[in-house]
Amino acid sequence: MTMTREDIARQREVALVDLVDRLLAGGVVIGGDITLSIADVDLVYVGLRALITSVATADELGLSLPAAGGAPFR
Amino acid sequence: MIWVYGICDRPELAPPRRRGLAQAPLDGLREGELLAVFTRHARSVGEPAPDALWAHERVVERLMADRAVLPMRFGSTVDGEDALRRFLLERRQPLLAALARIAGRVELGVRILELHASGNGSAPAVATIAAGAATGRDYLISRLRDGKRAEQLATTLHEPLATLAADARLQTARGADDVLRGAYLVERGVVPRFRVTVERLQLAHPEVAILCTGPWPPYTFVSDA
Amino acid sequence: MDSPADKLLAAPADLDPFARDLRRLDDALSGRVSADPENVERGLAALVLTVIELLRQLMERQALRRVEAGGLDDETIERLGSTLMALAQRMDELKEIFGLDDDDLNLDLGPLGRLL
Repeated sequence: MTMTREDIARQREVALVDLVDRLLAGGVVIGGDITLSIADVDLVYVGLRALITSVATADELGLSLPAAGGAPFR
Repeated sequence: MIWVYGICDRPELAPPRRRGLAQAPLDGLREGELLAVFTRHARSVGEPAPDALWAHERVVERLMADRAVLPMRFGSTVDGEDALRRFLLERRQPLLAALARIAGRVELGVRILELHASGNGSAPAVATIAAGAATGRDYLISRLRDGKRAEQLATTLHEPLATLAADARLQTARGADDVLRGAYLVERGVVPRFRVTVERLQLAHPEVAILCTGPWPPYTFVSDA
Repeated sequence: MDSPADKLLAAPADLDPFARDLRRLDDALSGRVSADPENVERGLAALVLTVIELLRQLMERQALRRVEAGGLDDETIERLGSTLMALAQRMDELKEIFGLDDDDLNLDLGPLGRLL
């Protein structure tokens, strides 16, 4: 089956996604938390992520969250 | 500045004679039963552009060809060899333990997405579900059913793969279409069987799209080393 | 480049469903949020709605667990379901107002991964 250049490019891109995931979020770390400096992500995003992760973990552990009373979008 | 690619066993083996980032030659630092493989750089390298990522990856894979290697995260740098040696000394135990866990094994990545009849790859809007629901109770029931179905599907797809693996790490779903997203640590010799199993599962489940990538060095299974 | 395409051990003929992940790759590698005003506002809306959507999903999951656990009277179940349904519908409306779809709400934080 012949593959178009586009097929090959798409395959490379898909492989790249998996590569990035592994190289930037996996592996042994030396030299402290280097992830941030590489991605150059603002601290506000990090704080938000930490907050959301902790909320998600609480849910997974079956801890109760603040009661949802009525629609919050008023 | 020193850029580290991996920490290996068989420290008596010299580092491969090839180049790493910025065409710098590979060098090795031995400390006890561990060998750290690195390159030296006068100035900063390693903007995470695809070329640099693949360059790092190729070094790790070359190491993996003839020894067990703990892949380093991209961007693992230290000031000099003293710092590197200190790291190897301080983390000797967890590093040796990690090497034992991954020796002879590779990582395979699996991503499974649910396909939809509409073919445009987007999940039906929650509103559509809700529109079909007459009451709040109906909504709850339809959501419960969706949840059960998704869980069931994920388990059905994960189990045959997990059986072939020494270890597996699943991620939480990232999108509405996500059925499964995970990494499997598999003996090298088992990779063909794993692949056949993936193909078999795909044929049995045309409602999903299954992507299997690898073999990769075991990045996902060493981050706590 | 020695074919990174070799890394696809098993894949469907159509890789489009996996193409969504490509969008965040750019963000991860460039690591920057666009600075032009329209994009900043849109980016901000996406961020806020993502947080709201995450909380909505968590609340819904929590509620479903309680319903499954049993012991709730019919009125409570109905009220819970109606509220969750209203939240879901409201979320859809907000997404439409800001011109955002589900993919937009899966904000990428680079290697920290998507929020949802």
